[in-house]
Amino acid sequence: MPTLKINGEEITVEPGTTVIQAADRLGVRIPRYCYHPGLSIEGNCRICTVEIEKLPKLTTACTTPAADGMVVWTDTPDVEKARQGVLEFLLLSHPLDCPVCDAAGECDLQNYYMAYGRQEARFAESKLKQRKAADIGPTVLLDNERCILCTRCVRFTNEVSRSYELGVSDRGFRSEITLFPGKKLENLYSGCVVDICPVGALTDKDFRFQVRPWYLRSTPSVCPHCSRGCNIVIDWQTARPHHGGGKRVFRLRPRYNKDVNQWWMCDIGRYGYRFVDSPDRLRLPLVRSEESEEMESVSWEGAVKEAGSILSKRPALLVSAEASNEELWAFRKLLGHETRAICWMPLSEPPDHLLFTGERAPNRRGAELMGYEVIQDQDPTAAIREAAASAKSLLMVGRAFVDSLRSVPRSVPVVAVTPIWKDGGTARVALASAVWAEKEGTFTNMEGRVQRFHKAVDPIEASRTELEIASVLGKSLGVQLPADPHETFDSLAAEVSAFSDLTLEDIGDTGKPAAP
Amino acid sequence: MFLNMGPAHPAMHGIIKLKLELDGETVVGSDVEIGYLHRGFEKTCENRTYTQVVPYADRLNYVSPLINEVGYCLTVEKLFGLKVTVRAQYIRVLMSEVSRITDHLTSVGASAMELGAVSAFLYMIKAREFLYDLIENVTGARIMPNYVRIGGLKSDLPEGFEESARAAIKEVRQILAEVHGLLTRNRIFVDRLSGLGVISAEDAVSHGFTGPCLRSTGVGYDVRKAEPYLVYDRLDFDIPVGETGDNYDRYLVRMEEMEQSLRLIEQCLAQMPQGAYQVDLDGQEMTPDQVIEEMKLKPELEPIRDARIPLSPDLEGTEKRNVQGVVVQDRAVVFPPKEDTYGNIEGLMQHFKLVMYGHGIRPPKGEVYQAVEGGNGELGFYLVSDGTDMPFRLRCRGPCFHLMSGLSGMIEGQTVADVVPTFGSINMIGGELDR
Repeated sequence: MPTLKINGEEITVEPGTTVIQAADRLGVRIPRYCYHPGLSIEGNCRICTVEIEKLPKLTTACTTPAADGMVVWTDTPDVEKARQGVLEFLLLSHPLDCPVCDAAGECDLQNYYMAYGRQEARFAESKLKQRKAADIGPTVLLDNERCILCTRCVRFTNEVSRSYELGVSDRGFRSEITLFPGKKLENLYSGCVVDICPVGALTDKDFRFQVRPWYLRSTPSVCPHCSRGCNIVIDWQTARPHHGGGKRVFRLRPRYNKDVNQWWMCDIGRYGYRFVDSPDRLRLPLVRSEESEEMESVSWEGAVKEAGSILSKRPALLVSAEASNEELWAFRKLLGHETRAICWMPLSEPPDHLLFTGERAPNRRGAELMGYEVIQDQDPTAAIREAAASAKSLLMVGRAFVDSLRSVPRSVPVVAVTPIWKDGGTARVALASAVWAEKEGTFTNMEGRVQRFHKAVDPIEASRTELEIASVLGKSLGVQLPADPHETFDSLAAEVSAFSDLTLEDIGDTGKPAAP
Repeated sequence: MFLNMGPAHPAMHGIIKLKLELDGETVVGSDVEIGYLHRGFEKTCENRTYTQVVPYADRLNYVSPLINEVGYCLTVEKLFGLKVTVRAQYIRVLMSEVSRITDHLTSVGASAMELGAVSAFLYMIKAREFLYDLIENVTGARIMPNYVRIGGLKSDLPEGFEESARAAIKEVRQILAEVHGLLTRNRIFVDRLSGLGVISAEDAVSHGFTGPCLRSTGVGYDVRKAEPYLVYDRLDFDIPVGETGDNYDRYLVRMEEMEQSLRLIEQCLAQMPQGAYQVDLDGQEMTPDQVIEEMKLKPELEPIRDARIPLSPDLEGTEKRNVQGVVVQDRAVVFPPKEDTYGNIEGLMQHFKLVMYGHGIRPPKGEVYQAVEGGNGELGFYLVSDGTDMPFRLRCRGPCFHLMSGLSGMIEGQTVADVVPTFGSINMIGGELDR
């Protein structure tokens, strides 16, 4: 085990660790462009040069393995001068794009210029004209002028997505990132190249020109699109509604979790946030009028009263597998354990080599642990028939059922707790609920790992979280239920054995496995 | 009898309410009610970046806004440990003194008008207008200039400034002499002021009085002499003091201070290092001839040495003319010249890093207090930085707050009619009092 000194601090690392990794572990920040912990080491950007005693020249920290007795200095005048030189070279032909560049505010050229460079411009020649806003695939645009050729994207498509789409062509100052002939950047992980691009060369078509990144606020969350439960960050802003056409959630980004998704997330999850601000959102509670048979908006009190009277007649419970553990528990509790509780999820698709599990249900495992009967089918019709068969009323929770409400027999009145609304079907009451970005809770992924997601934005207009709805329905049905997700989790952990060892604090940001 | 004077009384300029307890026409007790112009200045500043605070500082004492700006910027610079170029320091002193005169002109003029001397008021406002023209010439705005920057100034003095300044000084001197003739020995004016609104030196000190109101009592405290900042220690000026601390003494102190400010302006104009406002890469000041000499050493720069090429619309970054302006040389603090922002990627990135939310200029963690001599006395800023781009706490010590605490004692035993000149001579400014 080599022991080395970085800026006077000693650290012992495993053999094969590079100096930059050792420095990261110590909390000494060395600037980097081409180095990425999830990719192979290239050593081409030269910004991470450090001084190592007894070596004749400055050395790149990302390529040098830590050796016993090594003495590393990361901020000597020589190092600073070298970084300044590297930055000046990188900026020689950099276009003056900050005002129109999506990466401004998140750009490592800007950050390192202010932190390390701050040099005077000396370049008086003409800048190189290159391809701008090249359409390289369905999700990403490439700007060759902004590119610093760190090749992170190339290594990503070679090593992580294994789709082998990008490469470097030509030589010298004409070298540029290109697609291989006949290829497009079209894979399930294409959005990740935008995250790893240290500059604004690769920009996301979906995020492009929507909002300046410095207005965004970030909330840690978990992806609700498959049973992997990738850790993500929700980027949102509400202070400037004129940006992005009134969108609140602008972007999802992966959040590092070494046990789940590492640095990555798939495009299904990345671009699957649009339903949050969709015009189809149900914003008010609706009740079907006796005379006109039309859905009419009513007050929450009226809707809950109506729902309570419907559900007092032998109900069945049908949820979709996007409900959180807390909600699954609360609705189960609301209708009593003798009530039939079914969880529907779509048919599994084949999983891919990296993250996507094929099960489009973020909390299938949670539903199983809560004692739900899980039905997997192409669409929810069969599950609805099954649930309605033996019941006099039906409580449906989740957006998955909106399209299938017509298949419920007319004799069974339905209370739908849903964030999305298109068509009434036979539903008597529709209670506007929140989506995952608007509430707090936990999902249990397919490995049984319980992970927390947090509230980024408020529930849209008059909608309420499922737990609040369960709590007010409980009042009219005579069941005491907490509306607060923390209290709900505590009660659920006390009752469900798989969760008995868990507290929200323990789960923290990275999650914790439930008992098998 | 209880009488509410204000908040909308014409003599209660600014907005303030005096609750007077009267026995006949004599004031036997009073209570000062403040807060009508409270805007949450300090709290607002905690939610603004350091650069965004400057215009808010303008609105403290809005009769001498440049002094407020100088005070705030000096505070932030102290936190950074920055010192601006000597020329910038002279310009800051010069503009502060111009502002001080406008402040005193307004104060004396308005008090005189309230005693019926409308012509004196009109003359003084005329003088103030000469100075506002001067300020507009330099900063682009008459009253809310937003001219001082952290690390320097928005721009250098315009061409021909010295002549216009000297012309303005001449006019102001003439008007001051005229007003002296009209007021200083005017029987009515003297009778309405002398012996009224008296405060003893001990009381004034214990109330925290500063500025002309303190000096009228005979205490010669002036921040410019006691804690010299900028280049005040290089300049020759006197601190006029009164004897009795009454309204007439305050009038005389203000009149003399204006003369001293004119002297300061003249000295600044004479001493100011001409043209030495550029700094080289090491932060050394350079005169234009030094710049040219240095350029000669770099033959590769020959073709662009004197280039004053207008910016091309495609902003390619090939043309270059570096006018560093009146600033310190620290790119983490000072905005780049506009030529750089639009002309090369380094300047553009520097500009972006300084304006983007959450990036901005970031002073080191720490706390500082810096005071300047404002129109009404010690204007201090206490600034706490937690290392982010916004102040953690910005406390403003405005002189008016302390002056108002002494008002009740000064008007007790006087008639209602004497409240007006006493209040006028304190020169309460709502923006600074209520913040």
